Amino acid sequence: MDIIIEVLGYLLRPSCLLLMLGGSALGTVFGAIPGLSGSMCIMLMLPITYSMEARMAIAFLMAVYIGGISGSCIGSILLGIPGANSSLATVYDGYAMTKKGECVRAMSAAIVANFLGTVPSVLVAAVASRALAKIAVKIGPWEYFSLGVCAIVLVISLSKGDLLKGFISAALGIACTCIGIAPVDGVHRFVYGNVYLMGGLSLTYVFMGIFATRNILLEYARKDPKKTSSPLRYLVSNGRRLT
Amino acid sequence: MDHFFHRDRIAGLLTLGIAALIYVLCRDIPESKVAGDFGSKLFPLIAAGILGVCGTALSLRPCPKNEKPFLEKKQWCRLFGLFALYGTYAAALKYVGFKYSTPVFLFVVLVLLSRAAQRKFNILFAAAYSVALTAGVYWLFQIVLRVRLPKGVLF
Repeated sequence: MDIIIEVLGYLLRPSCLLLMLGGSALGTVFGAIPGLSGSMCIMLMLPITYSMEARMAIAFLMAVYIGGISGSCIGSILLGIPGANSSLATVYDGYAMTKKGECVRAMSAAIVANFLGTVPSVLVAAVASRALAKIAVKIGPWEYFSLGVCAIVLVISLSKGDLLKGFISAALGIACTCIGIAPVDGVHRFVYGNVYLMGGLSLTYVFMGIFATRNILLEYARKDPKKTSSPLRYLVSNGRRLT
Repeated sequence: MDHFFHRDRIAGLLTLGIAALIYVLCRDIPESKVAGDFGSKLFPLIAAGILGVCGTALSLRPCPKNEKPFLEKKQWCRLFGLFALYGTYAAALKYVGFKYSTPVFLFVVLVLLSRAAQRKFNILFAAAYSVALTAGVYWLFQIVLRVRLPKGVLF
């Protein structure tokens, strides 16, 4: 209890609060931009923290991380492109609300939900980290396998009643994670000498590609251009208008 | 004929194609030296099997006739056309590099999207925007973040 009071006293200093505020704002900006993330912001900010006191540096980096994860909902809601894995589910409801013109309501709900999720998690982590760590080291292949099966069942159950599409989604996920170096025997799978593929595909970028590309392609396909103007003629006619 | 282009049927056929591709590519994965071990091709083959079965079922499943089609035939063509453009850009990144392929790709996409939206199109603005955006991304990633962008095999 004494440690908690001491740490809280340290964190409530004006300098520390200001630093955490700046860190969370920076993380939010990084999280909101598709392609950048809170983790990338932490990597960039890491050299700055070398000159800080350890406790202050950890508080700053945690603020950056929480800001990055929370900020990723902005891209999900406004653009339909998840900035992080955690904000993937936000796309379904958040972007639909934006298309109806209710983006402020969606953003408000996401921010409140972020706050309600973060605060209890931090409290639980502060109290129960030691006990959780003891359980975590006991997790082995059986538990990982059951978690994997659980995830696949969850994917299928979330596929709005269409079992076939759920299975296809799960299989595509398995296929995507097979790219790179096999974890058991170190064999290269679907790499073909490309160094960028050796580490596998980052799920964040896969999701970004799926959601962003889908939105752009459908927006383009559904708009009906003038039948008479080919792209080249359109370009030439607009060029003439300009001159 | 348009009924044939139901989104489930298209998705089923695409899934079948992906399953076949994974199965063919699995041949390049070396066999395990341990007797009786499936090796590293086990999971890709499981994925290909699931995709093959589900893709076949999805493409053969009767499509509801009264439902409004997801996209018309022309719209499917436009969708795959833009998708092909993205594929060309990915190939151009490898051969021509980021600096030269990106402004051209951005300009073409701007022309196509402006035409689709039937907006007034300023050719000079589009060209300047394409070049400026490419320069900005290049500066941020290559110079600030020290992330290597493709230089292109031909250059």
